[in-house]
Amino acid sequence: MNVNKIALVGNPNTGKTSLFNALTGLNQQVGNFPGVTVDKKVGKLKLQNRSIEIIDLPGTYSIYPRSKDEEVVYDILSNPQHVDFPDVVCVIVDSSNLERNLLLFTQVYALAIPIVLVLNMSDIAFRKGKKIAIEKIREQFPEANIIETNARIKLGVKKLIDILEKRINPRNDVPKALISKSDVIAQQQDTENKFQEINELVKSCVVQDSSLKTRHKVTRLDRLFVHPIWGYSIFLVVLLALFQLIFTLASFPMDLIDTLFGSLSAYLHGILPAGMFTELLANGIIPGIGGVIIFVPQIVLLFFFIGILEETGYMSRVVFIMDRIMRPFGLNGKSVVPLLSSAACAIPGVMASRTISNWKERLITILVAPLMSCSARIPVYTLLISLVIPNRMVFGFLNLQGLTFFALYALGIISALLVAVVLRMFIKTKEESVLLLELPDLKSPRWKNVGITVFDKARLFLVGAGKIIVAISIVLWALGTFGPTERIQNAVQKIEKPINKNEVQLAAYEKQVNAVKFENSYIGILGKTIEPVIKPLGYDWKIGISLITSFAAREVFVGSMATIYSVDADGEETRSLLEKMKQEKNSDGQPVYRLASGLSLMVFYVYAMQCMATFAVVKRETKSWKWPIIQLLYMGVMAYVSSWIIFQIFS
Amino acid sequence: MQEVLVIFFIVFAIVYLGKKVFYWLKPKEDTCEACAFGKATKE
Repeated sequence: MNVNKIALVGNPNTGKTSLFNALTGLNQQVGNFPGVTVDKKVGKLKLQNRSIEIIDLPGTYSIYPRSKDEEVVYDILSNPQHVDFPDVVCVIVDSSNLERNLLLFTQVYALAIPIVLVLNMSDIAFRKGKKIAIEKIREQFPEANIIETNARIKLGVKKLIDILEKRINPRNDVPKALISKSDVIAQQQDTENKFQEINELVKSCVVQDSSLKTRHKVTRLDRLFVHPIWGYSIFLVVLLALFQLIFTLASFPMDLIDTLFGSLSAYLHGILPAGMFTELLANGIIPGIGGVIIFVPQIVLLFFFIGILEETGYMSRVVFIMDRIMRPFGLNGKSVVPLLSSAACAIPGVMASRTISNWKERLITILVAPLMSCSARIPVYTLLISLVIPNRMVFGFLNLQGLTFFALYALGIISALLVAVVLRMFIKTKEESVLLLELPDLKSPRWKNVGITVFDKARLFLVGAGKIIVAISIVLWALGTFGPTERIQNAVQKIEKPINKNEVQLAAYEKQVNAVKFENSYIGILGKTIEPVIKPLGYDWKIGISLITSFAAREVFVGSMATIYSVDADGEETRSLLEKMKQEKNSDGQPVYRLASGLSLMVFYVYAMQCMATFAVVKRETKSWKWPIIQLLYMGVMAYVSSWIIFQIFS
Repeated sequence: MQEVLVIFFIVFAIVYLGKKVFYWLKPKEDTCEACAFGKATKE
């Protein structure tokens, strides 16, 4: 038969995405906890003279859906008219746990769609001393193709491709219709019957060979990781070490990049003919790009360490222990993955909430997810910490800047939990979802996967956010360079010209003229208009402008500051942004960036929903404008009030 | 010449940002392509 479309289905964490990557040559993110794939992913398996479409579907334990992501599987397989209805279904099962995995296979088999049973993770079954008698399974399911694989190392993948290309068994049996989504009792009965059949089958086809069973050396370590006291202590130490390392290791490449871009601006000023485009390039585009690239070392380090934690299986233990912490706050176990994902980016976090079957619980998770500090906040936190927190050690071994970084992340997590408690008072839920989590074996990381994660995140940061930052830098440069001519002329005329035209006096005059021109530019007028609103928080109008532009994305804050301070730099391009900001003074002579205003700004960025893309995704996931607007408002009010309190306390 | 280049870049930046805002806010199909910073679907 001619196969054009193949669907990959299976329980969560059975290696579907690994197999998808092996078949298509793509590099989709794989994970070892549920919720990594919450939507279908499509790729092409290229054969000699044609290609087959491969659809990777979200993991599900049964064909009968309990959550939005599981519905995707039911909707596609129950409807032959569906645009994604496959010619062949590959059911991927974890060979070491056939008892549970075969349920989905038996349900899909009953649909009479040509089917391949992929006995994946054969290495783990082997390590656990399990031998599978494939002929016994074949006797019971004669129409299915059956193959053993280990997708992680691409073992059996060639054979699978060969089957898909040439040797698929056609189905001649009559399909059984699926029970309707709403008939839960009939589904339950059907599931129980199937489990009885599966238990009989597993008894006959799985042989436990005690000579093959290797002793699990990691069991003791595992007990520590999920221990009610040691588990949390270890997690705390891991997080502290992570932030310390990020801060310490990233400082050298960051300083280097900062100096390079400062010098590049000055160099361009020197070699290009004087004019407007040179100004745009040296004071707008170059500082804007520099403002993005400088944070790549930190993003790379963060995702490198997170990648290692995920790959070793430690993150699954974190999900497990966090489930225990979150319950008293009214967040159920399934909220853990979306919230932890939000620590990288709120968008996949909000989307991972699709695994939560109860709508109200899902809504609460979506509403608090952006409070977790995402990677876009790293540039903002780093810049502000470097400005106002001294670089010294506390307790002899902890760097104060790294500790502040950790505290900001902790503030985000604690606030998300507290807001969830408050939201539950208004959004009442009757039933609670439970987290079903399989702890994968602890293992050494696969460096290729870590590398893919790091590369993807760095690319997304550079290309995704970078383009927006550069575009905003250009607009900001224009707004800072131009202004109402008459207003600028009047303001300049008010400055006293030096009587003795010596160099020092002329330079001082030029500096004053530039400052006045900048203050009367369009950006200056806009900034001065909003200044009264943000002054109680300790911010000046330049920060106000960056607060507005960073609504597009938080990391835009740094690019905007770089451009604003470049336009206002009086030809001192070689100074780094940090130096320019450190020397910035208020009208009363006090530094703009002191401890009070710096902390206030950091807290503002912990709470404010400064992300257009998250706003759009929340609108899409909740299918209304109401919830993203409520989220924007409550987070905005929290940000304003908390920042004001912090500023008052530290002033 | 420099002025022309500057105008071109400014117009380009404004159009790009405008398109981005419309892209974020317009209704989309139920796929993860919607996110500009998150995971993108590869087809």
